[in-house]
Amino acid sequence: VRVGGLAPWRDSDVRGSLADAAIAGVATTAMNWRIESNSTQICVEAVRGALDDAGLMLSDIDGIAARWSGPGGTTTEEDPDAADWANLLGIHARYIDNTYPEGVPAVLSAAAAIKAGLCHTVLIVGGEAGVLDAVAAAHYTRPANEFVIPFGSSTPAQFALVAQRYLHDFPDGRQGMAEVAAAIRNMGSRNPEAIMFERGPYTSDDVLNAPMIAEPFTRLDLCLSNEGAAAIIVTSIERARACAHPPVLLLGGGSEWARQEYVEPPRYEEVVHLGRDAVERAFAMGGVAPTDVNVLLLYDPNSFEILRQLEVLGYAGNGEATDFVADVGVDLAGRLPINPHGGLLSDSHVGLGAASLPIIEAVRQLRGTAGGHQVTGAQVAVATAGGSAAQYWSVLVLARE
Amino acid sequence: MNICRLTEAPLRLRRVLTGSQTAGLLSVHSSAQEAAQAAVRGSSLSAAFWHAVRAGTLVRPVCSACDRSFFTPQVVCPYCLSLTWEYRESSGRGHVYSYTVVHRAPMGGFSTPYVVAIIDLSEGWSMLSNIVNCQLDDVRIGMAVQVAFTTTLEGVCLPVFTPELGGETE
Repeated sequence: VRVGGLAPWRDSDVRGSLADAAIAGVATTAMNWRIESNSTQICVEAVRGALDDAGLMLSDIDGIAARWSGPGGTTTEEDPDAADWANLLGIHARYIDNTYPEGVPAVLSAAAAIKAGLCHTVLIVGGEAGVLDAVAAAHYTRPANEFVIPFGSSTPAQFALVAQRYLHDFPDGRQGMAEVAAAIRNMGSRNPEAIMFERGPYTSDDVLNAPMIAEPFTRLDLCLSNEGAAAIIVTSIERARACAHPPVLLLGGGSEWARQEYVEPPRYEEVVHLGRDAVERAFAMGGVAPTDVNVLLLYDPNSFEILRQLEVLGYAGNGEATDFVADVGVDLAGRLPINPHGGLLSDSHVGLGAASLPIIEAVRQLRGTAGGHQVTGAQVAVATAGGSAAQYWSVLVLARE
Repeated sequence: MNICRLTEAPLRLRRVLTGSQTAGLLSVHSSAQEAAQAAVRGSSLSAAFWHAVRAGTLVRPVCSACDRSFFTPQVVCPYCLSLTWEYRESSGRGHVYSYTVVHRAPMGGFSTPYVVAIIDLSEGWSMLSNIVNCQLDDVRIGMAVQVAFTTTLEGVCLPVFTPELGGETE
C-alpha cells in the first residue's frame, strides 16, 4: 500500500526567515454555541477588534487572507464562509490568500508575502455564525464523497482510525489522552472567556467514562463546535513597532500537507508523525530549541492530537508522550503548560477561524495579557494547526521582542 | 459498553424513512439518503466500480504501465503518473488495518453502533468500509476479512467486509 513522504531539505535550499514580519493585532469576538448573526457579519466584528487592538485603520491593510468568492477566489456555490472581502471592507488589496485553514498557514504565507515585498500588512479573518445545524460538525469536514459517506465515517472517526492504531502499539496512550483532556478542560473551566467556563472539573476517569462517540474517543476527548470569529494582523516589523502593543515575533514555521482531509483514509504509518520535517526547519529557522518554549498552543480537535504533536515536536519519542505528560505536567502548575486557555476542547472552535485561536492565545501569553491563565514570564510559544487525520499540519514558533 | 454486539451495515435509509413520517424528520434524514445515492451513482472514474459492486464483484484500479493497484480511482496512477489504468477484479480478501466503532453517526440514516475500518486488500491497495457479521468486541487490527455485498433497504449496494473463516491474522 502506498506510503508517501517528503524528500529531504537540502543544505543548498533557501535558508528562510520570517523575521521581517510580526503580529501586531489579534481579536476574538464573543463566542457561543450558536450566535444569531451570519458568518460575514461576525468576521467583520473580529476585523474591527483586531484593528483596534493594533491601533490601525482599514486603510493600513493591503493584504487579506480569508475565504474569497472573488476576486481571487472562485467559490460559486452558496458558501457561508466566502465573501468579497476587499469590496466589503472598502479597500483594495496588494495580496490575497484564499486560505484554508487560517491560523498558521495563513500567517506563514502572509509573512512570506511581506518579506517578498508584495504587501506590508495582512488581515487574516475567519469564523462562523448562524450556520451550525443540529449535527454541529464543521461542514467542510463532511464532504459528500462516494467512498466515505455510505460507510458512515465522520470527522472523529477519521482521527480515530489513526489513534486506534497508535493505541494498538502503545496501549498506555489511552490514559495519557484522558489526562491531557482533563488538564486542558480544567484550565478552560477557569477561563471566563471559554465556552466551557465553570464546567468541570474533570478527572481522567470522567473523560474515559463519558459517552462514546467513535472509539477510542468519548465526548470529553473531542473538541467543541461553536460559533464566533477570530482575526489576526501580520505586518512588517517596522510597522509593528509603531502599533499599540509590542510586536510578537515570528521565529520560524513550516507545514506538511499529505492528502485531502476527510476523504482519503488516513494511514497511521504515513501521518502519525506528520510534521516532523516542519518542526525541524521551524526551530532551525528561529535559532531556538523545543526546550526554550514556555507554553504550547496545540491544535486539539481531540486528546490524541496532543500526544501525537508532543512526539512530532520532539518532546517525546514514539509512544512516549504519555510518560512525558506525567513527568513535566501540562497544566498551569506544570513545567510545560499546554493550551492554558482551554484549547479547542474547552475554550472555542469557530469553523475556519478555529485555526487562528492557538496563535491569538500565543500572542496574549507573550504580551503578558492572558489574565488568570497567564503562564508567568512566557517568552517563547509554539502554535499549531491541523492534525494527522486531517492529513496536514503546520507549526509556528513565536516570541516576545 | 454492550457485550455481544453483532455488527451490521450501518446505512439504513428505508427503515429511517418509514420510521419517521413527519416532514421535519424526513428532511433531516434525507441528507444521508441523498448523499449516499449521489455518491454511489459514481463519477466518470468510479461508475465502473459501483457497477461491478452491483454485480457482486470488488474491483480496483490497476496501472497498465507499472501494474500496481491503487485506490481511490484517480485520473493518473499515483505511482508512475500513467494515464492508462483499468479496473481488475480483487480477491476481496484482506486485513483490518485500523478500525473504529462509531457510536454517534455524522448524520441521520445510520444505525449505531457500527464499525468503520480501513481494509488492506491482498493486491496492495486499501479502502474504507464497514465490518459486518462480527461481534463488535471481536474486531481486531490485523484480523483477516473477506468482502461481502449488502444492499440497503433504499437499494444502494455497498461492498462491506466480514471476518474470513480460517483466515490468518496479520
